Amino acid sequence: MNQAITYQVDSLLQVLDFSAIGFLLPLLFFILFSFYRFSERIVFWSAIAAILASYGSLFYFLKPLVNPHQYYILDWFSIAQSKFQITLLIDDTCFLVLSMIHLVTLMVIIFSGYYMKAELRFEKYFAYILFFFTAMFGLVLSNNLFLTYIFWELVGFASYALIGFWRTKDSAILANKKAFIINRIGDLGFLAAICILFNQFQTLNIHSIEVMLQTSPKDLPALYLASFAIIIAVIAKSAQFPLHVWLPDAMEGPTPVSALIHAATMVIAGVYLLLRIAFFFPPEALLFLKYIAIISMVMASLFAIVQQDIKKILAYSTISQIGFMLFAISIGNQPFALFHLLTHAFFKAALFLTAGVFIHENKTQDIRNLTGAAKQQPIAFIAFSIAAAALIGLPFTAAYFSKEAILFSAIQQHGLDVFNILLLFSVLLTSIYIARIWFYLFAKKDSSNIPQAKSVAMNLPIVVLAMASLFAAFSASPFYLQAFWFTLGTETIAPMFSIGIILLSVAGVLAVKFIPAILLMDEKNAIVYFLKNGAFIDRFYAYLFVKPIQQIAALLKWLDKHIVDGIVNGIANFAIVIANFSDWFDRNIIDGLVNLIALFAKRMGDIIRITQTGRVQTYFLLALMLMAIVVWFIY
Amino acid sequence: MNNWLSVLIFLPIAAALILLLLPKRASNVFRPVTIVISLLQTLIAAYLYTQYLKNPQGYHFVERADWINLNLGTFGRLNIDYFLAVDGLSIGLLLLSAFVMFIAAIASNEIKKDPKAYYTLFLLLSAAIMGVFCALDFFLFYVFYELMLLPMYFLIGMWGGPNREYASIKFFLYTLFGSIFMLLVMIGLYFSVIDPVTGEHTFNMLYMMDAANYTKDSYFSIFSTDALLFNYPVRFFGFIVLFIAFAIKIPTIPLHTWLPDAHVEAPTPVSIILAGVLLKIGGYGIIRICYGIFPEAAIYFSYWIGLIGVISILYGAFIALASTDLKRMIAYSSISHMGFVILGIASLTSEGVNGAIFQMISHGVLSTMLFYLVGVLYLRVQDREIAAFRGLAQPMPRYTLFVVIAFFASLGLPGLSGFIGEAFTLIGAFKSASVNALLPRGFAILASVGILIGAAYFLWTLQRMFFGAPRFKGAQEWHLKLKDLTATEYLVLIPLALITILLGIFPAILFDASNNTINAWVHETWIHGIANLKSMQSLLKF
Amino acid sequence: MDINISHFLFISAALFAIGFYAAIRRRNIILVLIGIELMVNAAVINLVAFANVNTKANAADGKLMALFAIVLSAAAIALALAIVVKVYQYFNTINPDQIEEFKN
Repeated sequence: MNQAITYQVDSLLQVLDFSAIGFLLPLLFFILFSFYRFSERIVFWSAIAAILASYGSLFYFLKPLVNPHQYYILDWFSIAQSKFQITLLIDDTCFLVLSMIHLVTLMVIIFSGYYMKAELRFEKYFAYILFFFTAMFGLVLSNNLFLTYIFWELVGFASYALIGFWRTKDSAILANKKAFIINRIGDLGFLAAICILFNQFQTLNIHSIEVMLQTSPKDLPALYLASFAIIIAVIAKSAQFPLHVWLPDAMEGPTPVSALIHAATMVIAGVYLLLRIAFFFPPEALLFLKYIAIISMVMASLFAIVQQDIKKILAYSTISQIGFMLFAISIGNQPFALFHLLTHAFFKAALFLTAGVFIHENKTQDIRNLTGAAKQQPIAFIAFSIAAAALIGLPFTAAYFSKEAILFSAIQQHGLDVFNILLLFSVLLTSIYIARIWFYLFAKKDSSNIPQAKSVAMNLPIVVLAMASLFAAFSASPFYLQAFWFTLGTETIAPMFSIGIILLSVAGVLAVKFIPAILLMDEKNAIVYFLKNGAFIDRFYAYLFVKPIQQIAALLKWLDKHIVDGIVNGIANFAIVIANFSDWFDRNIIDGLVNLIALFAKRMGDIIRITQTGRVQTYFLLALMLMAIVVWFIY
Repeated sequence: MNNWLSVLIFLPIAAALILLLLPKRASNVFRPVTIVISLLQTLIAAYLYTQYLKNPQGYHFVERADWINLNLGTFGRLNIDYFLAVDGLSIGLLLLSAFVMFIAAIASNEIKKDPKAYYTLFLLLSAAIMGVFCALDFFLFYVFYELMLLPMYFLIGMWGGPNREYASIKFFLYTLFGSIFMLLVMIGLYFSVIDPVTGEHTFNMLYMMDAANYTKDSYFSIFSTDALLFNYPVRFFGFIVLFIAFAIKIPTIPLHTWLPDAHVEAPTPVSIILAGVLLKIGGYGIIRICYGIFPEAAIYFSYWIGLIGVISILYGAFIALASTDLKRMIAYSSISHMGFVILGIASLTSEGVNGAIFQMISHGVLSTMLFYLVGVLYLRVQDREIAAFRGLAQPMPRYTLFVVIAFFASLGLPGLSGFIGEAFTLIGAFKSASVNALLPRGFAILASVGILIGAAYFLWTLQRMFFGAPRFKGAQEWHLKLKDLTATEYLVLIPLALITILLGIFPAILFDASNNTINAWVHETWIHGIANLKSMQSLLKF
Repeated sequence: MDINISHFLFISAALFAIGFYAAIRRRNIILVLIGIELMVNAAVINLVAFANVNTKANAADGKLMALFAIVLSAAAIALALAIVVKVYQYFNTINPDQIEEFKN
């Protein structure tokens, strides 16, 4: 971190001059398109203009080639004794990733003009894409973990909006709910890491933490916990095992969205985060990451080779490739992890967009029905082939460098241990699954000449991205990594090794050509069936988590209504019972006593009244009797 | 002018008196008058807030006058002051209350029956709420606190849904139950505390917070050797009683069962007031009164209070997941969100308590929005069952937009206000384990599970009710009735959405006001609490 | 058998009892009056008997008293008969059981 320049900014107004308009345009258009309707042309060209303006501002404003590290710090709010700041870091990594994001977003927007033509809610689609772009932009620039978390979640929200774009489609709205909830699990990990790191360092600025760590011991327990928590966040966002289940479902969204978000940008947010903060990860965390990466790679490749849906194959391929990037980080090869991130973005976006062409033109996502597509959409097919070659890692592509370099450093460090063998196995599988698609596309089919759309919007992006997958984007020579635009790192790879890997990949391709069973991947085979359903991990989660949670919820609802509220109502009823008893008591016992006395008096009266006969003789008799008694008593 | 707080309190009372004098024929004047009055209150409160921000510490706008001064012969003198003031804790809540009342007044356009009574009670309630947040004399506080109950009883009981009598009397009795015992403790405190200036007993809360003001042999003194149950000192029971009184209001599990019934049966504007303001009084009461007067008990019981908070979060979230009625679901989600408030307070860290206050204000705005949205739907088709709707986004896209904003804000999407409150209560709860060893880390972890369940039920409701192909229980008839938002509804929802976004992006708006006060408060509570605990533990062995 | 005072007392008592029974139970006021007269006469006999036995100087008191009693009783009976005539005019009966205006 030499020559770092820090700009302490007192207010936003200091940094906002006309050059910053470019940054605000995407956000502005997002707001506009969300609330008002515009014609498709206006929306389309405004979106393109916004991205171009943003990139222009980036160049002008940040002067990336002149100052290597720039920090911008703006006071945000204070709480307790800490000050939370908006901290932005501009450096080479950031600039590279931002360039890639701009390019891919631009290409996807142009392609969407073709793919989403005549779609209802056209402007909403672009609004969400621009929102996503803004959030991703912020995520890349951010140097404060709190800020990163905010953009991390906002990117997830954009993904939710876009996966569920066709919101009357049941499968789409189930998929986006699933994606968000699983991402939330990762976000909890991120939140835990924020709590742990804040507790330890009283700040969440990555730069400040770096500085503090230079003078403190390296084995703080906080660092262990935080690193595992961050890895959980990465697992969810970057769709690694075991939280990978949302990505194949996310293919319900429009294909350009899959290209942008679920291949090139959002899913690599996890990788990017690790690139930024893996400096404090202890070796145990890196080992854990390695396990996750390798399991994801192999599992995803196995799932990919048995799928028949082209988008699902590419989705699993993404999972696998990101595992590859994470693997690179776990063995300490961060520069080439970044390199592979960039090359993967280009070739994966190219693969998705060309798949989009095939899907749109042939109205099917099943690769078995895409035979003959090579003839029908030649430009797309060529672009697909270039991108596929990049995925496999053949020479003349840019990914050749990144892939080889990572493999080489892995084997150089640890020889042919279990991890590396699985790694090579995954390389083989990679070439198999992509070759399957290619051979289907290449197969001849008797079909009438369907007039094909020849639109610039369709062809330009895939051509550009295919070009970007070639070596020329990154190096002057197709075989050796030579510094061209910038220095990413140098690796001298032994030629034998390089040839060995190429042979391995080609073997995979040939296997598909000459072993028909691999091409077909018939579902009647038990293994194929098992793998095709994602090893039933989805169903496993449903039984292990979703169902029990729903049952607990129902139980608690019953408990609340009958027991807790029952007690309250019971107390109230008890009071009413006591009140009734009091009433009964009062009326019958106390009042009864009063009545009893009155009754007694009446009875006495009745008895005495007997003597009042009204007859003289009775009175005479009584008088004499009384007198007799008196005389008796006197004597 | 130094009487702003009195103006805030008595303005609605004056307006209510005027309304009472107006004849029934003038019934279409009532609502505009109420809206104007509540708008005035909001503006005054906003002005006070900005004034407070210029020097955000201590008590501002103090008003103090002798109110009741009776010579009771052998019992001494009865001394009740009219003592009002606000600090960082209450100013934000005051502004929130004024604003929520304003929104509720606008939302009262659905009240057709007996408007005179309704708006009079409304204004009375408004005055009482303002009073609760400003009062620093315990008796005055109690008067306003009880004064809130009566209008609410009638508002729910007269204008509510089919089961309204049950709901309103349940609410009334349940809350009254808590506050009756609060009265006992209040009187006990009165006889224990001596005003250092006049030398007489006093209800002044600030004096009650200072242990030096207690007479040596009084009931609630820290040197009292009276001990009740399990040899716990009397002060602990005072705390528990006060805590129960406010816990019923918040509400916490297991004293929460009045809330779902009250919310479901109350009309929309009353639900808004109930959820937006009344629940916060519980939180405010705990911070100001329970923790302020009995800090040692707060420290001693913080584990249990935190546990109650966590249970509230999870329990509320799970039942919301199982709910079939939309309004009931939101009521339980309110319980869940207020659980965060309790957790934040229990952590006794500045981040946690600041987060709790932020969460209270954010939840005030969000629950207003949520209940209003439910009300919009109910107004159209008189049905709130989640299963009765599917694909509402098709006929009502703008409405769905606001629902999405409200739901995502409630589940804690960053960039919206709900996140800041939840994040900082979690940070505070987590920090508590290392800073003051009060709460175990597991609480923060369990609370975050609550966040996850929150995402689950909100998203599931979105998926069931709003997305998908439209299909309604009332079929064709409903298709006609389900029109998108009207102008009044926009007028209500747009400011709420803007505030949510604003608070989410610029949390300093609230933190700047509360931070200093809460820093001082945490410090004081800790110091005094520990000191009191030491004295008490040396006298009574518990 | 010597006739001593006890015989006279006996007769007097018997007469009194009969007169008493008549006064109580007779359904005819005239007979009730007769009964009363019998009781008075019994008392007179008593008086005279004791006067005869008495050897003291005031022995004539008894006989004198008896004369008074007879006269007075005659007067009383005359008055009673006058009342009976009036009662008969009013009630139309001389059965004392049917004259119950003072009942209860």
